[in-house]
Amino acid sequence: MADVLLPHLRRPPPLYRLARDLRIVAVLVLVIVLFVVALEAASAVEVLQSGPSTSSLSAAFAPNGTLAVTGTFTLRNAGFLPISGFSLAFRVLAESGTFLGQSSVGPFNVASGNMVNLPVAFYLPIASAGPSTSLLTVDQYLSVHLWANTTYGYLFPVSIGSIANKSWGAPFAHYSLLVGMPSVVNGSTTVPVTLSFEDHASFGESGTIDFAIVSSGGTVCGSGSVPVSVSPQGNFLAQRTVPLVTGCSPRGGSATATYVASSLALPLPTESLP
Amino acid sequence: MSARTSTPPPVEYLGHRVPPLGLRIIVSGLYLVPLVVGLVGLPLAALGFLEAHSVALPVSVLTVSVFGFAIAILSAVRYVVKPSRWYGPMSIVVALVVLLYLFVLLFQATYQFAVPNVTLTVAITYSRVVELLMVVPAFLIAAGIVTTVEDVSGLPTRLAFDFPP
Repeated sequence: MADVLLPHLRRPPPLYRLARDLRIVAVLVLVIVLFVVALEAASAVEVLQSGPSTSSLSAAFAPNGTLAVTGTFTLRNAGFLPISGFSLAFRVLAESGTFLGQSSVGPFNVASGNMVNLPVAFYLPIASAGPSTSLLTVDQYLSVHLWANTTYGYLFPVSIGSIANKSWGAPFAHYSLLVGMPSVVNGSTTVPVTLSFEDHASFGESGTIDFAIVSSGGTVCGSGSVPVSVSPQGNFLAQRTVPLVTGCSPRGGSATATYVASSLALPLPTESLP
Repeated sequence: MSARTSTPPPVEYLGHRVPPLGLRIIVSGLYLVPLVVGLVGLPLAALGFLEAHSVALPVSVLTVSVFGFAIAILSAVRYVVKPSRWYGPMSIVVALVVLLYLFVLLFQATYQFAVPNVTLTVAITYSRVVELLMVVPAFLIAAGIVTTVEDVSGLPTRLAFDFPP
């Protein structure tokens, strides 16, 4: 009679208990995993709402014959789980699709509630002949590819890719070095030289432009130097009269120029002479 | 009274009261509703939301529908056969289908999508979550095996606790 009234006091057989316990463990695992996933999702939303940001990139000539594009990437972990192995990689392409340069930072770990400022820097070689030299004189849209890899929390490796087109203003836009017709004055031959460009960059130029008039045979017929001090978005125009070496003809030759600033010498495009 | 508390009663057949087949079918039909909602309705709604916002789907609608309905129906059938020796094997089958579903998800566990109106692609790998979830059907398979063995040795023992009088 007691068995019928109080069956719950009976202890189930071992196999029954084992099966029941296995099901309980399965449910517990399911609940824990779902809880952790929900926790990570909620924390990830906090991070996204805090807004990773990139400071506006600034460009300047670097002493080592490169164009330095620098900025700061700020990542704030407002969530309650760590961000581990965060790394950024950039690649810059010219408007023509030519590869210009790349950069990467990281990996970094960002603990919950912390913020990191990651310095971003590209050094694009412009002192030697190469695709980056077009940045000196050609306004264009640069294609900036960005990749970010990280593991959020402990469960979700995430990678983000982005392509942004950034307008680039050339520091020597519309560069022109014109050599006029030679003339003889007081027995010596001189030639007028006109140098002009527009600074479309976000930085100015201060230094000199050294130019040379070279004959078709490679002989320097004449040379000169023009001081340059141009503010961003400014125009530059200079005219000089250059004496030529006796017997040296610039016809069919070329006009070369180099922008010289403190510990920097940047060759500008060579102009062919008729 | 003191004998009941001081010495455990011997394990013996207590009797059981199994609901009739018709009632079990009705209950399993009701049981089917939340299962279909949870396994098919909500996932399809989430996929529909992504599709409406032009975001690529992490898993196909067909996969979710087929596995969702299969798991729900098999779970309902499992309840119907609970008083029989088919309960253990049926539990194993349900868990195997869940495991197969998770394997399918594991093979496409990198979800890559483009954010609309922004040149941004995001790839999230959730293979670790799927792997952790695989522990669940693994335990259920083990429980099904134990129940099968238990039923082979004597079905009424289990029924006394699953369907107490």
